[in-house]
Amino acid sequence: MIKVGLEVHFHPATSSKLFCRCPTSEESVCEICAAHPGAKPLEPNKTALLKTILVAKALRCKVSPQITFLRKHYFYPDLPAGFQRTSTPVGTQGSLEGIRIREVHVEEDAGRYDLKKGTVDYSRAGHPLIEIVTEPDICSAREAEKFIRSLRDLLECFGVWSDKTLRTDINISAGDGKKIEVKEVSTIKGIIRAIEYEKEILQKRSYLTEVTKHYDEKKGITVPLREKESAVEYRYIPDPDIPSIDLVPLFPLVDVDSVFRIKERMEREGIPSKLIRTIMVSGLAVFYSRLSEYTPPLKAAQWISSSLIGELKRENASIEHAELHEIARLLIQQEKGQISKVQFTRALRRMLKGEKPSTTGLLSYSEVKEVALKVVRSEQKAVDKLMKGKKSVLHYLIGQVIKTSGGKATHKQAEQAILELIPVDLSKKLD
Amino acid sequence: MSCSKKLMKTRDILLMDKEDLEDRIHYQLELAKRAEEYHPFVWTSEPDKVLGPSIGIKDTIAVKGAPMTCCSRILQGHVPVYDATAYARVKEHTTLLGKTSCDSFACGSSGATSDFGVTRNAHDPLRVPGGSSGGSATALALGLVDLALGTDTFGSVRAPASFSGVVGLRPSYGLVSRKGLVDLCMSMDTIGPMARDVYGVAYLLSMIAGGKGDLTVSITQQKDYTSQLEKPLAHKHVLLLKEGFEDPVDPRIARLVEKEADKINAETSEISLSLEQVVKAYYVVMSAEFASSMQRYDGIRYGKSKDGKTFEDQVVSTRTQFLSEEVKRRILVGTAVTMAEYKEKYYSKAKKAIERFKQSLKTTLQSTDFIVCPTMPCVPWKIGEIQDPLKEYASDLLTGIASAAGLPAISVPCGTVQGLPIGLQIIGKDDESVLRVAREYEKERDKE
Repeated sequence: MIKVGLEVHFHPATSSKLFCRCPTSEESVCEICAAHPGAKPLEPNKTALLKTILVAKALRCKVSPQITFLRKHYFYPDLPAGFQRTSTPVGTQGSLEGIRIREVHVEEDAGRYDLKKGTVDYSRAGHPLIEIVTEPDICSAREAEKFIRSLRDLLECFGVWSDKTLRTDINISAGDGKKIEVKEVSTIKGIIRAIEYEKEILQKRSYLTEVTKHYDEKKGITVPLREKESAVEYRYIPDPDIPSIDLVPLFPLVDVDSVFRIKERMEREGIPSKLIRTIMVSGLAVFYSRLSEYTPPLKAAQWISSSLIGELKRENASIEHAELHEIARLLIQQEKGQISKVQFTRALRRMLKGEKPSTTGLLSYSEVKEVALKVVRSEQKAVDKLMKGKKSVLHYLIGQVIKTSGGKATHKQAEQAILELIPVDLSKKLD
Repeated sequence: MSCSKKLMKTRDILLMDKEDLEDRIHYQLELAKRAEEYHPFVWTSEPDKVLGPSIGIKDTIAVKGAPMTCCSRILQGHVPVYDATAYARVKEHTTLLGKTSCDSFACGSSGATSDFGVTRNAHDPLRVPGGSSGGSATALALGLVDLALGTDTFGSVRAPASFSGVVGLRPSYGLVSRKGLVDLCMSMDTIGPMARDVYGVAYLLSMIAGGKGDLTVSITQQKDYTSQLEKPLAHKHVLLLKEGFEDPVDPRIARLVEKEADKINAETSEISLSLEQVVKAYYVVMSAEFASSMQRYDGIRYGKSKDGKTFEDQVVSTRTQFLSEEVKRRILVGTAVTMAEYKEKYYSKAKKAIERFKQSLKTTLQSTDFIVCPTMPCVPWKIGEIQDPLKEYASDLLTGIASAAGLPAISVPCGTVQGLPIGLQIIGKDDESVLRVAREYEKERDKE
C-alpha cells in the first residue's frame, strides 16, 4: 500500500514578474530579479496574488486574510539571491477529486540551470509560480492521473495557466514514515510511470530508503539525486523588505462561484457534457452565460465550441475586446439568414481584433437579384445543367452569387433570387 | 530650495577661476595628500561639471557606473547598473566627489575596518573615525566634501558623526528609500544625511526623504526640512536618559553632555530603559537578516570568485577567502540563530524583545517629546585597540535606542574630551522637530 502526495507548480498568466516589472513574455532581467547588491523588491504583483486566490477558491480552500513572504535559503546557481521568496499559505484545507489540498501558495521561480553546459538563464528567475500541495491521499497512479487531469481542466477553466506546463514533485511513502521524493515531473505520462516504477521497486523490496530522485523523461525511470531533503536546513525567516499583505480587499475581485454556477446551469439545461467541458476549459463560461441570455443555450454552446474558440485561436485574440451584444446580434442575424456566414465571420474577426464591426450592411433583395442576373448570364453552362435537373448545381450558383456580391448577399437571398430567375421545380426529383 | 553659502566651501574652491589657479592647485594637492593620509574615499570621481555642494556617498549605496565594493574584497570589480533612489535624488543638485570608506559591509562601529585600508579620525589620525560610515565623517571633518550620505542601522551615521565632530541624522525608519542600499539589517537600515552643521543635514534630508511607489518608504511625504529650521519649537519637553549618564559611560562625557543639554532646557527627571537587552537582541536579529542577504555572494554573478571543483567548493572558497572576519562571524551567528533547532530560542525571542522595547519607548514618549543622552559612551579608541568584538558591540548602547524603535535621532557636536569630539544625541518622534531642536542647541552652543 502506497500513499502519494503531489506538489504541483505552474506559472499563472501574468504580464510581469512577481517582485519587479520585467515582462514575462520575453527574456528580461533587471537588478531586482538578478538580486544585485542593494536591490529591493517592488510591491508584489497584484495579478499573481489574485490568481493565487482564485486557484485557492477554485480548489475550495479556506483563504487566508493575510499573508507574508518568507525567505527560503539554499545555495544553487539558478537562485540569484541565495534564497527563494515564498508566501505563507493563501489557501488551506481544500479538495479536488476527493484528494485533500493541504495548501496553495505563491513563490518566485528560479532561473534555468543547464547542467551540461554549466550555464544559467536568469530570465525565468522571479516569475510567479503557484504551488498546490496535496495531502498524501492518492493511492495509485490512476488516481494521480485523474487528479492532474481534473486540475488542468480547472486551471484552463479560470484562465490562470500561462504556459500549459505543470511541474510536479511526487512524494511516495510506504506508511512506515519513509519517503521517496521524485522531483520535477512535467507530464501526466511521467507521473504515472514514476509512481508505477516506485511501486514496483517497493514490491520487490519491502522497505524504502529515504531519497530524492529525478525523473528521466526519456527512459521512464527515476534516478536517485541526493539523500532525502529532511536534512536540508532552509532557515525560513519573514522577508524584512516585504510588509504583510492584507488579502481581504482582493477577495471581491475574485469570483469562482459564478463560474461553478454556470456549469451547474449548463448541466440543468441539458448541454452535452463534452460541450460543457469544452466551454469550461476554454475560459468562456462567463461569456457563454451572457450569450445564452440572447440566444438559445444549446445554440450558444454549439457556436462557441464549433466556431468562436477556433476564431479566438486564429486571431490570437481575447473575447474581452468584443462587445457581447454585437456578437449576439450578428449571431441572431446569421441564424435568421439576414447576413451571410462570410459576413458574420468577417465582422466577428474585426471585433475580436478590437475593431468596430463593419456597418456597410447587406444588399437589398432587389440588389441581390441584379447580382444573380449577372451570374446567370455568365454561367450559361451551369444554368443549362440546372434546367436539366442537376440540383447540385444550385449550390454552386448560390455560392457564385454570394462571392460576386462580396459577401453582401445571404444564402437565403441568393437561393431565392436564382430560383426566381430559373424556374425549377425543386419538389421533383431532379438528379 | 536654495543652499546656504556655508555649504559651498569645497564647491567654491572647485569653481575658482584662472586667477586663483595656484590656490586651486594647492587645494587639490592638499586634498590628495589628506585623502591619502586619512583614507576617507575608496573611489574618487573626476567631476566634469560642478552642480552644487560637493558630496561623498558611502560605499554601501549604489551609484550607477561607479564601482561599489562595500569595502569588501568579495565585491571588487562590481559596478552597479542602477542608482540608489537617495543618490538619484541628489545627483542633479550636488557634485559627487567619491565613494566613502566604511567597515566592510557596514559591519563595525569603528569605521576603520575596510578591506582596502584604514580610515583615520580627522582629529587624531591614530584613532578611529567611528563607524560604520567613517569615511563620510572623515571627509566632512577634513573639509573635503560639503555633504555626505551615510547609512545607519544601529548607529552607523551617529557614531562617526560623534567621533569625528560632525552632524549626522538617523531618519525615521521608512522615511528614506532603501533602494540601492546594501543590506545589513533590513528591518532597521536607514540612509542618513551628514554635514558639518544641522542646516546641511536638513538640506540633504529634504532631497532624499519621502516618495511614492517604493515598498521601503512608509512615510511618503516630501517636504523642505530647512524652511522651519530656524524657528524654535513653541513647546518642548526634553528628558535626560538615565543610562546615558552612568557606568559604563565615560563620566567626563556624561558631565559634558549633561551641562550642554541644559542649553535646551533638558529636565533631569530621568527615564530608564533596558538597554543591554536591546543590544543583545539586535545582534541576533541583525545577524539573521544579514546572513540571509549575504547568501547572494556566491562568486557566480558579480564580484570576485574563486574556482572550485563543484559549485559548493566554489561558494565555500570564494566566501572564505574574500569576506572579512567580522562579516563571517555575523553570517555564522545569523545562520545558527535561524536554524530550525535554535530559531525559537534566539531569533524569534530577540524579535519579540525588540518589539517589546519599541512599545515601552512609545509609552515613554507619550509623556515627553525628546530624549537626550551622549551619542557614544566613550571617546574614539585607538586604531587596533579593541580586539574583542563584544567590546565594540557594547559601544552601540546609546545609538541602538532609536534604531530599535524606528525613531529619528541626531548627533550634534557638543564639545571635546581630551581634545576629541563628543556628540550630543537627541531622539524624538519626528524628523522635523528633531532637526529644529538640534538647530536650537547649535545656536545656543555657538553663542559662547
